[in-house]
Amino acid sequence: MERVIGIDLGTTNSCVAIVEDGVPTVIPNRGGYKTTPSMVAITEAGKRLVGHIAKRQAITNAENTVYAAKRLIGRKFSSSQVKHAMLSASYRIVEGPHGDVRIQLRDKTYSVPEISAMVLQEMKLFAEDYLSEPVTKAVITVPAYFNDGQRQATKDAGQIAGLDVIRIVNEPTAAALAYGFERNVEKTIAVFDLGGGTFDISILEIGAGGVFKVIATAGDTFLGGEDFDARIIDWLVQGFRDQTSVDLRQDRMALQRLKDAAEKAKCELSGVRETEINLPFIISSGRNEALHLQRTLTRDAMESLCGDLVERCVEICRQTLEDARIEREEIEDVILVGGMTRMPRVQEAVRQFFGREPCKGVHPDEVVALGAAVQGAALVDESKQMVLLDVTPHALGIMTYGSNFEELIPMNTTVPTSRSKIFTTSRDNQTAVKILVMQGESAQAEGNELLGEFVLTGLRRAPKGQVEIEVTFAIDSDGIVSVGAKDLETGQQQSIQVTASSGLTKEEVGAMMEAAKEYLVERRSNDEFEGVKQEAEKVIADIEKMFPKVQAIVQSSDFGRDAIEKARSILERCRDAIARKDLTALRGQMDSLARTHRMFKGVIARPQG
Amino acid sequence: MVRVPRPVPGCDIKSLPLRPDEAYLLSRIDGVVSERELSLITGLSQAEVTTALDRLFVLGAVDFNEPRAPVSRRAHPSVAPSSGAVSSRGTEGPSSRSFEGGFGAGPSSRRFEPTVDAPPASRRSFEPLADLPPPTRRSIELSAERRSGPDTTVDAPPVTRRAIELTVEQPRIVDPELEEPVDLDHAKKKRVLELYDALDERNHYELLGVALDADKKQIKSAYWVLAPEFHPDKYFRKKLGTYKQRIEAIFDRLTLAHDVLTSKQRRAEYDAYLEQTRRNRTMAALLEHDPTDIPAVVAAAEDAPQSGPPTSPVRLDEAGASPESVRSRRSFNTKLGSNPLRRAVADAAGVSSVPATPPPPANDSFRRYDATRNEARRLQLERYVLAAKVALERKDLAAAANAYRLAVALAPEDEGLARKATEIQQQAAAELAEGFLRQAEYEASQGRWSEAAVSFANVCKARGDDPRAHEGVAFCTLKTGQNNRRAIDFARRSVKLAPGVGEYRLTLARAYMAAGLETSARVEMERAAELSPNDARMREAIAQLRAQMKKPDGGEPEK
Repeated sequence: MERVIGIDLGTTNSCVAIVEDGVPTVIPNRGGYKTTPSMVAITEAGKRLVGHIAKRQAITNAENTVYAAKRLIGRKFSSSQVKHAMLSASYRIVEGPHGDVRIQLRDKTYSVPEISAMVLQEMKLFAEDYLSEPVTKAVITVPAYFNDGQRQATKDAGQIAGLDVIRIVNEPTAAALAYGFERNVEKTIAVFDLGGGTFDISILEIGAGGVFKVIATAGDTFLGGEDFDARIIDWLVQGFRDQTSVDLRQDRMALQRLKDAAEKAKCELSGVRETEINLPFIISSGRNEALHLQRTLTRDAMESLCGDLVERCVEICRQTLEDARIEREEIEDVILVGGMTRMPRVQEAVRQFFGREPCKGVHPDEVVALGAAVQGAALVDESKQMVLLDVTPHALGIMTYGSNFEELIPMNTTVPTSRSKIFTTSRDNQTAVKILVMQGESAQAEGNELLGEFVLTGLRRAPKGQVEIEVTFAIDSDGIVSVGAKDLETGQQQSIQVTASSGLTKEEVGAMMEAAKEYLVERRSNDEFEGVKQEAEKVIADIEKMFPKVQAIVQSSDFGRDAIEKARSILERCRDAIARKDLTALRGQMDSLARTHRMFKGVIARPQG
Repeated sequence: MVRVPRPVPGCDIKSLPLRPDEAYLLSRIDGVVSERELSLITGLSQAEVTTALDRLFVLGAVDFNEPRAPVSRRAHPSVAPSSGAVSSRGTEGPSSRSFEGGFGAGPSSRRFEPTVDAPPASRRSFEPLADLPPPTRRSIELSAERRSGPDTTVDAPPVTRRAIELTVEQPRIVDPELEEPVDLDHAKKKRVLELYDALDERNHYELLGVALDADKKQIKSAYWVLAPEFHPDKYFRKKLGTYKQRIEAIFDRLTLAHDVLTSKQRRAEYDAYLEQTRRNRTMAALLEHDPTDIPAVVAAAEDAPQSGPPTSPVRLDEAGASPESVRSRRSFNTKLGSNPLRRAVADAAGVSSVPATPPPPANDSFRRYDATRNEARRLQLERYVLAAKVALERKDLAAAANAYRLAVALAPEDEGLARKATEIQQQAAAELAEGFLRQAEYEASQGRWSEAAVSFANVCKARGDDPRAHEGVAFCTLKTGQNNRRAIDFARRSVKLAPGVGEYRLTLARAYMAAGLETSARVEMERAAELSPNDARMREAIAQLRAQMKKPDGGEPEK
């Protein structure tokens, strides 16, 4: 049976896990870390960097380093969230051909799913290294409050990365899976998930026999650690301007340094009560003189900066319980997920709201990936006694006349689910009907997300009102919407054309997949070359160290001079191959190099006579 | 002629294009229950039953009449089936038989039951099987007939769910659905088909297999067991073909049942609704049907308060549908006999009109016969009136109305009785209408538009002048998106009844719009706008409709 990896594709960090011998385990990356920054950069040389290395160079390459791409995925360029992100992002966000978001890195623009795919591809490689076998199947998590477009885009990202995404799972739900996995508990729990970019709250019932049923879920896809950082950055920028009248926002590199410092300070303040933010030479003033930023941030000060953000989370919790008609007392355990829940103020708010101490048993950064792995294993392994009943976070409906929203599937409906509606023609011989499908909670159509236009075409010609088409709206287990239609009289399936309002077409995804594959091949050979190169360089360095000694010993003989000459030319050829990145040539020299190495060592070891 | 449908053995029911109500009806047909009783049992109207039966007949799922008794047992094939009435008397003992013999079989015996055109077949169902008297020479042909009655009960396979399964299991019958090549084993396929077919007729409790008084924990446990079985993830990436849709539908319903029953408020609403539908069905059956049905109906009505929510008609028909139908019918009959009131009513209806004293010899004069007859009639009349009063005390208007109706039939000259009967009849109809209204409102609140439309229509039956109910039919029918004609008819009637209500006019306008009659729609809309110039909601709705009209082409969905 093929193994399925679980990937938590986070806003700031990603994590990959697998179920090994029945135990969900996090797979460390090449640096030995369990989480990898969800950052992608393109260097000046056009080289792609992903993860820790991308993060490390972010300051010097701010314009070509993408972070928090998840906040943009599946969104329209015109949306307020994208506009907001453009203000603070150090990379260039441009409009794509479908009104979608593209990111400009060096001379190329990338779709957001492509950027996410780069992270996913990296996670896939870690898993393959760890398992020493190819991995193709994955479960990827998304914030529970993601809408159809965001889910679809995430799935596209997986596909571009060469993964068969067998399921999209909601992050809080995944956390609950990891929490309840093989613990055989019967409980009602709340999962409070405050991550880097998004906030989710889910209420679940864990039943006997491994049934996990989500009762209600809600959240905010633009509320997370990034927003806390932004508050600190604002405070720093404001303070700096007051002191020096220099606006640090004008300088992308300074902004990147501020971001790093803000994040670091925020994390530190979870443990200590005050911290020093020290950024020397942050910017040069007009008089060509370097300015330094130095400030002290206390925990109290930060809490007052970010108090309303925490309050927003609590408010969403309150609303969710109210909507689901659940009393706080019914919640038997609260799980904290996401790095931001380390913040004492957040923990305190949760404690106060739910009236109980949050569960300390799960790792906030890893639990989501573990849960995804658990779900993956349960799907492919029939013997696993576990089933997840999730809900749709948004109501699904259609736009009716006067821009009203007619709800077809209410929020918190257990998925998969479907509803049918009958449409009729309103003109004689009408052959097409257009349906606007929307997702959201607002009674007004504008308040909701337009998922797409569906056009029923090729209707049979008949007097108006006589053609009745039954349109079925379905939400699958991934939370993704599909639409099907059939003529009620003839039973004929009607063709439906879907115009995605944003996101990528099938062809685009295909092309991006090809490009990603090519990159992977290139990267694989690159990796191999790097391996051989390192080995060669080590040997070369060793030989060079011995060179003077050996030369002195064997100089006297003709044979010796010959050998030295030969060694020199081998070294030369190796260096050349390395310079040209010519793997085959380098491989060809490796044997000779090794022989020379052995010979040199032999010469030195021989007692001098 | 009363038809007695019976299932055609070996008919592959699952392959037929049946509607749920037809399938439901079919499941109640056992070769014993008459067409009329079916209407009573199922709560469908007489006309609906007739239509459904005709269709089932055309489809080859049922046959009519002439229950097939094994030929060997049919000693006198020439005996008319109507003489089944005789056999029912025969069970009472030799004396009744001789009484019967005195007046001869058939038409003459009917003279005792002037108001009742009892379907003989229906009586068979009440006939005890055991303790047949040792056949005398004379009773041989009678007992033979008698057997032919109950025998049908035994021979004609009762169509129960189990019977359907049996049909399915017979290897010679190829069920195309079970043959479908999907990744499910045979047992699983059967379970899915069985459950899917039963979705419409099972209430939430039945679906989860929990008692009506089950607590939240029991409901949840039942769901925890069933939901994983039908969650699509259990069939992840398997080939399911047409089963996919079925499994999803089952899962959807299970989840709905769980969600409703675990929410205090929704469950209370649902329970009230179940109770309301049950009451409506019983009442409608009582009021709409021939008084012949009264024994069963009264017995049913009496059982109801003691047995709690699961309706006694349901119990009755469940008993009838179970494989032990014969036995339970027998015990039912015994119960019937043991209750004096029921017995009185049952007697009156002609189930077993057993005179207390041995009847006079057959060759007595007609004068004495008339006296006996009048005496019998007087006694019956008293019994009806008593039954009616008892029913009234219990506030069972429907049963009371029925008893009065029977009484009036016996004494048409009694004006006071007639007035009382009419009054009670009207009260009962009003109560029923009220019940249907509640049912309709719940159904509408749940978005079950077609059901709500039917219930509203039932309200209209009793309240021909209720504009709100008519508008309800129109509105719900519009919501279903089918039968715009009907929506227009009802909306028109509601506007006619209450010309001053803008809301009703708006519904009419919508109905016109749905049918594509734009000019008429515009007229109604203008009037609606005039009538309620200040109602914000109305204004919005009208604006919406206007926008709809302005669309030059129908490139937008119909509302």
